[in-house]
Parts: sequence; C-alpha cells; structure tokens
Amino acid sequence: MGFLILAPPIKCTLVTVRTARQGEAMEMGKLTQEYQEECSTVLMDEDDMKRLRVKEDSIVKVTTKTGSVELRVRPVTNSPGVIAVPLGPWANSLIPSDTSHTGMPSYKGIPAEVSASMGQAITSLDRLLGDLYGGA
Amino acid sequence: MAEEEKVTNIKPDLTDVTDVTCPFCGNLCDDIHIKRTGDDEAEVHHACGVGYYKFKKFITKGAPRKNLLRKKSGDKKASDDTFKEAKLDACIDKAAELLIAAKKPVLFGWASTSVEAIREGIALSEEVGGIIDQTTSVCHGPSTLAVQDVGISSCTLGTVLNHADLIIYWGCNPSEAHLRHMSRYTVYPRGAFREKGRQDREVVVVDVRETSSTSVATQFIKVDPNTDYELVHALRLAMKGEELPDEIPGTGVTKKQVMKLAQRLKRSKFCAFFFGLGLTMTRGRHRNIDAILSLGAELNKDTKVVIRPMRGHYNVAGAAEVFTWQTGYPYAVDLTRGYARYNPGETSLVDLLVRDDADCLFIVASDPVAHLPKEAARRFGNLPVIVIDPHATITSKFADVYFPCAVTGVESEGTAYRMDGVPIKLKKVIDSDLPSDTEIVANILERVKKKRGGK
Repeated sequence: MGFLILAPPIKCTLVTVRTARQGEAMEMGKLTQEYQEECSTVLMDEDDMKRLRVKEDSIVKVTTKTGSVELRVRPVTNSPGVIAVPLGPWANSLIPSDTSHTGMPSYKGIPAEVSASMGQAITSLDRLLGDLYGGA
Repeated sequence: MAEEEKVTNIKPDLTDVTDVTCPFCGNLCDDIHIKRTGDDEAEVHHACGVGYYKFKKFITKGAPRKNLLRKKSGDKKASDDTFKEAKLDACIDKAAELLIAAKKPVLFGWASTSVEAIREGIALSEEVGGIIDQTTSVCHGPSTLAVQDVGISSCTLGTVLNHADLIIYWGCNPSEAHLRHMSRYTVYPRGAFREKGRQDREVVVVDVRETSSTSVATQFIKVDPNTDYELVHALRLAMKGEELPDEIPGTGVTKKQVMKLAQRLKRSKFCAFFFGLGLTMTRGRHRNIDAILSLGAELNKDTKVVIRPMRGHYNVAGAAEVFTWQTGYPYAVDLTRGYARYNPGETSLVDLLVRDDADCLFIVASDPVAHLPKEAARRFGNLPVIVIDPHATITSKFADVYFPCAVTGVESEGTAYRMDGVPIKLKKVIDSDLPSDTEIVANILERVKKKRGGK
C-alpha cells in the first residue's frame, strides 16, 4: 500500500494577468468552456512546481488572506516565487477589496500560498457564483 | 492564410468591409478587412486573435439575443428559469422604475462603448442623481491620479512610430494584452526617422516575471513584486549621478542593470515609456506612476521622453474625455447632490460596493462580477441590477433587467478614443435588429423624465 506524501506549501506572490487565450475566450463568451478553462489556470515557475511535486495539469490549492480556490497548474520559466492567475472569477476569490482610498484594489502583488491539492477538480464556476447569490 | 482568418456560417447580408476599427483594446487597430469569400464564408484579415473572435462571434449566425426580465423581483438564483423574455418597452419601463426608486444608483462601465453612449449615460446619471464611474477605476485610475498630480509628457503613437529609438515597457505585457502594439506602433514598424524598423530601436522590458514580451527585449529587468517604486527612484538617482549600492535594496535588481538602463536612456534620442497595470495595481499604486512621470520630466532636460499608459478597454480613454467634458472629472463622479463631486476611494465602484453604499447598479458594456474582488461582487447578489451588454455575461446572470444591444463597432457606428487620445470612427460591419446601447440609454432617460412628469 502506497502513501501519498505531499510537499510543504510554497509561499509566493500572486499577480492576476491578461493572457491572449483569456482575451480570446472572453470574446467567445464568458460562459464557454474555453473561458472557464483558461481562467481556472495558475501559471507557476517550473522549478517551484518541482518543489511542490506537481506536474502540468495537476490541481493545486491557491490561498490568500481573502480566500482559496483550486486551480489547474501550467508551467512557466524564470518566474520563481511569482504565480499568475488570468483575470476572472477564480482570481477574484483571491483578491482583497481594500483600495487604500484610491478606488483600486490590489490585483497584483498579493502574498499567497500554493499547496498540492488532494482534490481532483478545479473549483467550479457555479460554486464561485453560488457564494455571491445570497448577497452580503 | 492563417486558419484563424476563416469564418463560416456567416450571416447572409455580410458584405466586404475594409478599414474596420477593432473594438477590443486601446490599440483601436483600424486596418481590419472583413472579406466575403463565398456563400457561407468570410475571412477576417489583419486582426489579432482576440479581434478575430470578436468579429467572428457577431458576423456568424447565432441564437437571437432576447431582452430579459426577472420573473420575481429579488429572486437572484442562478438558474435561467428565474428570467422571462420581455419586450424592449417593458424592460425600459422596469429600468426607469428601478432608477427612480433608488437614492444612490451607480452607473458603471462605459469603457467598451462609444462616446455617444457615454454622453447619454452622463445625462441619465444627472437626471437620476447617481454616481457614474467607469472601468478605469479598476484599471488606470491611479495613473489618472498621478497625472493630475505631476502632469505628463506625451504624444501620439504615430510620433512614437516615426521617432522612438528606445521603447520601454514597464509592468505590462503587450504580447498578450495589446497584441499588435509592438507590430503596429512601437518596435517593428519602419518610421520616418527609424527606417530600419526593429534594427533602429532598443527595447527594455521591466516586469516581475518572464513573459512573451520579454523575449523581444534588448534588456529585461526582472524586479521583485511590489518594489517598482524603489527601482524607479534608483534609476532617478543613477540619472543624477548619485552612487548606488551594488544591489538595489529589496528589488532583486543590481546596480549594473540600473546603470545599463541609465546609459541607454542617456544615449537615446527619443524614448517612449509605456506602463501597465503592473504599476497601478501593486503597492504604491498612483505613487508608482508619480515616480515614473517625475523621472520622465527629469529626463526631458537631456533628451526627449514621452510616457503613455497602456489603456485596456478600447474606449476607456474616450470615457475619460467625455466624463471630463461633461462633469469636470474623468471617473468616479458623484452627481447625487446635484453637482459633480470627485473622490476616488469614496465615489469609486469598489469602495461603494464594499461600504454597501449603493442601492441600484446600472451596468453598461462591462462585466464587473467577472472582474471585481469577491467582496465587492457579492453586492450584485442583493441589489437591483440593470445590464446593457451585447453578450450574456456573468453580471447579466445577476440582472433584474437585461438588454442585449447591437455591438458598437460591429453592428452599430460610433466614435472611440485610442489609448493616445486620438478619436477614431467605429464602423458598422453588419446590420442588427437590436438597438445600440446609445439608443437604449437615451430611451431609459426619456422614460425616467416622463415618469417624473418633467420634475
């Protein structure tokens, strides 16, 4: 019988970004599979992925002070300690709303933690929106 | 021909249209050619991937887009069966009722429609005594604050094309966000004084991560997140001949890298700085832009430097123009007292939502639920929401009234301002049986006036 040994979580800085694919998928429609697949992705440095013992398309849990979501991971090069999540409902769950009296929340430069997920699936859009329907 | 240029299943009345302006990003590329190539085929030439999908979606046959009303007021469940189809007039009536009943409605969006629609929106805000804000408040709002503090040395993209020998992209990734910026205006094209195009120019990219734009750079400086302010000031010191430590504290950047950039700046004849949300959305926000603009002002004593924000939505620059003509302020304008007040941080959308200080949301050409922090987006779940948008969006799922409209720049004409402040005509490519957002907003304004009996 084997045991799954998870690597310790990695501390990093989250930036939300536009990707060309996210822009294209947004024009196809925000309720399309293409949009949801792209926006539920986290771009992570390939060496950080090795440290976390995850491979491309693995599910990881990204957590900030504001919340946490499960996303599919995609490797990028030469960006240790920085993770990028395309703009969209998944990223929104991780962003604090404080604007320091400028109107602008911190969409970039947010302290975050990434851990390998025991879950097999990304957080669904329905679940994210379901959190909003009740109002505040 | 690239696979991406082909479109099939097109609407029957599509004809050849040349010099079409793409209504997606602040580049406003106005060389798109929609070419009919057969009974059921067309090609979209010159557009980037995003532009291609934009045109493809609206020149192909699709399901008719219907006006929707929430069956039961306040029932905000996700499922589509809480909506009913309704006639345009009934929706206008309901929208007018909701706006009249509200004490502090917020009218938000505007950056992805024409200046004509924005004009109507401001008139409506004034009539209902609301707050009107545009997407710049979660985009380049801090840049606006900095420009108001420091001023900006600027020019059109045409001047950059003809003169610039040093292009600096700071905190932005045009290869993914403004896909033709480099090829159309800055890095690659041949200009009157840059006849060899790319060979006559140097490119510097400053960013927190390697991106597809950094591969184009002559010099790439990787700065640690949230430390751009420190790096700009190190550069200002270097330009003044001050001594720097070997490592610029906290930034992950070495003195050698800064000195190399300082030398490039000194020998350049015309430098164009473009900065993105990597500066406005991180720690420091408008102070980061203050620093860049101040650096630009100092550099202009020795060489020629221009600075431009990389504006995202295709008419976000136009929205600021119209807001300023009409109210004196570029965004976050509070008209609830009968005169215009401007106080970003208080009168901007996110702050209003988080404070629970709005009682009706009127959203035009924007999808805030898809792009605002969760704590702000949550208010859409318990406030009356009116949405005018060509697409069904995530925000329209929260609407009490949803108006589909003709897409400006594809199904209706209009005017938009490019990121450098140049107004450009948006063409109509194909007819639509839907009214434009300009018409819908104007109709709601008329209905509000009528219901109030001219009060």
